[in-house]
Amino acid sequence: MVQTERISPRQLLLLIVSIKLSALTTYAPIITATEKGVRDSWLAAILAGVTALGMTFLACTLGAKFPRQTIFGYCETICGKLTGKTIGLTLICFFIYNTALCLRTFTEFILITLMPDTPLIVLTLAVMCIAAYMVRSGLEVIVRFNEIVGPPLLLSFPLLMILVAPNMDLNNLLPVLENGAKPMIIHALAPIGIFGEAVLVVLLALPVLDSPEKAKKAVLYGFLLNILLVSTVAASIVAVFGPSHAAHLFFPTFSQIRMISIANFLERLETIMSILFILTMFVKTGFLFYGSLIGTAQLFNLKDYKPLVLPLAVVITSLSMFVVENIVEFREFCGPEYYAPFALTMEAGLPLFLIIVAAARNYLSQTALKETRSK
Amino acid sequence: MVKKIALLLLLVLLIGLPGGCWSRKEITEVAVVLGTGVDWTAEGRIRLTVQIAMPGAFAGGAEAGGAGKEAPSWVVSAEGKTVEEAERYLAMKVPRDIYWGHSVILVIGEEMAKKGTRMVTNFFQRDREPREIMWFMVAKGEAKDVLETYSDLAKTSAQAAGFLTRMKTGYSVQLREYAEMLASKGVQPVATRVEVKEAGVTPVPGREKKSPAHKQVELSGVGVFKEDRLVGWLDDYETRGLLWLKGEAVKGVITVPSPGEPDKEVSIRIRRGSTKVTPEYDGENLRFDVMVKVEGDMVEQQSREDLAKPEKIKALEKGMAGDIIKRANVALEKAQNEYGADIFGFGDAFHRKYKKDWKELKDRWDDEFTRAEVNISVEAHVREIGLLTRRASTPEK
Repeated sequence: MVQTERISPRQLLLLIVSIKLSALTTYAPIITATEKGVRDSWLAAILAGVTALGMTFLACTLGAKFPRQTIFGYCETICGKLTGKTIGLTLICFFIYNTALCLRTFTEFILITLMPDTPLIVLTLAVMCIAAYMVRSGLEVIVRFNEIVGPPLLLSFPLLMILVAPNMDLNNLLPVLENGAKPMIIHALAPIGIFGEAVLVVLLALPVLDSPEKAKKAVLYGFLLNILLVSTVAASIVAVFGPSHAAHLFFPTFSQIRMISIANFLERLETIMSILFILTMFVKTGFLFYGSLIGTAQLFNLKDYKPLVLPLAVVITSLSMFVVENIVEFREFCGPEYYAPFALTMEAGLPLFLIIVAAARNYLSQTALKETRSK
Repeated sequence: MVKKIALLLLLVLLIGLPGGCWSRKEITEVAVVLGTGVDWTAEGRIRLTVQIAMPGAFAGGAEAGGAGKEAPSWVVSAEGKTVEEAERYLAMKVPRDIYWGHSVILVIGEEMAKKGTRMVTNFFQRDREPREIMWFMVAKGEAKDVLETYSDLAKTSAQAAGFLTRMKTGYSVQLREYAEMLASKGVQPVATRVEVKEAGVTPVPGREKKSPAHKQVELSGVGVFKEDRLVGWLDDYETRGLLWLKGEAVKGVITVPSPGEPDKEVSIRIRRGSTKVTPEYDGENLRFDVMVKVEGDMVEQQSREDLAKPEKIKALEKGMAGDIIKRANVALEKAQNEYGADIFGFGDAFHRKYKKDWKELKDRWDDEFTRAEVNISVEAHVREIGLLTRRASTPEK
């Protein structure tokens, strides 16, 4: 299939930022933390961010070798048709599962914080209808939509930090690395997977980037912004709530906004922030959905993915209803035992595997070439 | 393309509206809770008392029109095994939907506090509606009595208590901060004590005999907790000492004898202060060096001497330091010897400096704390002396 849409490096940067920020409310760096490691979650965020940046650069390198081809395409080029299609199918499943998970966290967030009485299925359907409309309109619409809704959310974070500053006690962040580096590193594992969603963004966006040589720069700036924001927010949450309390909050950022009370007047701002969060969550859901569609279309050699929108939307909606039983299971899943291996296999393992295989094949074919020449 | 994006934005914004219909709450259908009280009854059940705002009494301009005769609040209680169960029984008496979002205070009755506050606070943190920024306080006596009083100035006792705590004249604590203290092993919680006492009269024109004083809420010191159980109180005087040692934002007055005429007093209003706690530990002996810095303005003198002289100011500063040390020692003495509870957060300071030793000591911290030596030193400064140099009413010599 031929992709005619084009996005700019700036849009790629904003996409990376938005996708991370929308997760900040739900997973956050805190949620996967144990009480032991929570004080150092800002450090863990930096560690996770830098590691994920390396993974994303790896994906950039891989993508640059196959210009204007999606990962589902060059998978087959590298590994051959059968293996390539199998890997492609696995990746599609990963995308579908992630979309369903994202959809579920999204609806659970709305359910818990804003509309407790609304049935889950109603919210899910409403959100999915919009996401389906979004992807039907194409990738360009998603990224331009993100250009409108992303910056306000981005700007709201410095504002949040200022408003919540009176509640902070920086002593709560001490002592640093109390139990040594080990709990901090374990704590960083799942956030690596969450930061690593940028790998998925790069894999999908690279083939349609109008100037691919600028991709690494956009990724770097996007990550710097993300790391700065996430570690600041993580530190501020611990500073506001204290370590033992912070580790037990479901939506730390949301709880933090509830703490704002300036002069008994400027308070109850959480709904405004929630609306901003919800807007960027649409971007994330739509984008992951787009990934599963592109992959499926490629798998069956379709010219266009649009006929697949409805069937896949049905699959994802129903999957999201039982992907986790309740939010407690979700929290468990986000921990380092499950989420880290789940995400890292695809986000780091797959690009690495493809690069190695490609290099080996290249080497083999070149030696084969030399051998035939020498003969 | 632009059309599509615009349509998308519109769709996203619209989607929230119908979905929210399940959780809609019309303003005429909610009962706004202003204050919440929880008591432990003699039968061993939890009694939840809520003070509900009467909308009419808060309508704008009602006072000017003379129509503000409606009582500002309605107080109602119900019992249950848990707070939520009590709330459900309450719902049978309250003809509207109980809304917690505006609750200003959470008062725990004395018996309930002795039984343990963990049984109460969870609901107010877990549920979506109540806010963790509400003021947490413990009542001398029953929480119900606190809510069942009227305030002449602030209309309802909940708002009166809320304003009093917000001004931080004494020690005030939010539910979140209380939970944080409860969760830390390095500090034992304290909570504002609230009492019902007669305060002031409201003179009525055309009536010779003064009307009797209303019973109104008043903040008086703090309740001291060990874990989540109330073990005792600190009065106003001791609470000052607590505030100095805790380094909380301090307001108030220090009264010291006038340097030249010790039988007369001089009052100094505190402007700002800070406290630094430095633990010293050599494996056996535990010592805390507490450094208090304070700045104040002289606002009143009873004596006739001229205090606008550097050496007199020095003497005043020495007096201030002495007063702070005395108050701090009284609070310290009570915390160490009577209650055996580290209410000052010295454990947290120790934790920050000696993270390895903390692991050993944290489970018997209160014992360690009672044995600890505490050195308090104060650096006091008098910055301003007001609009006069010496008192204006002194005749020339």
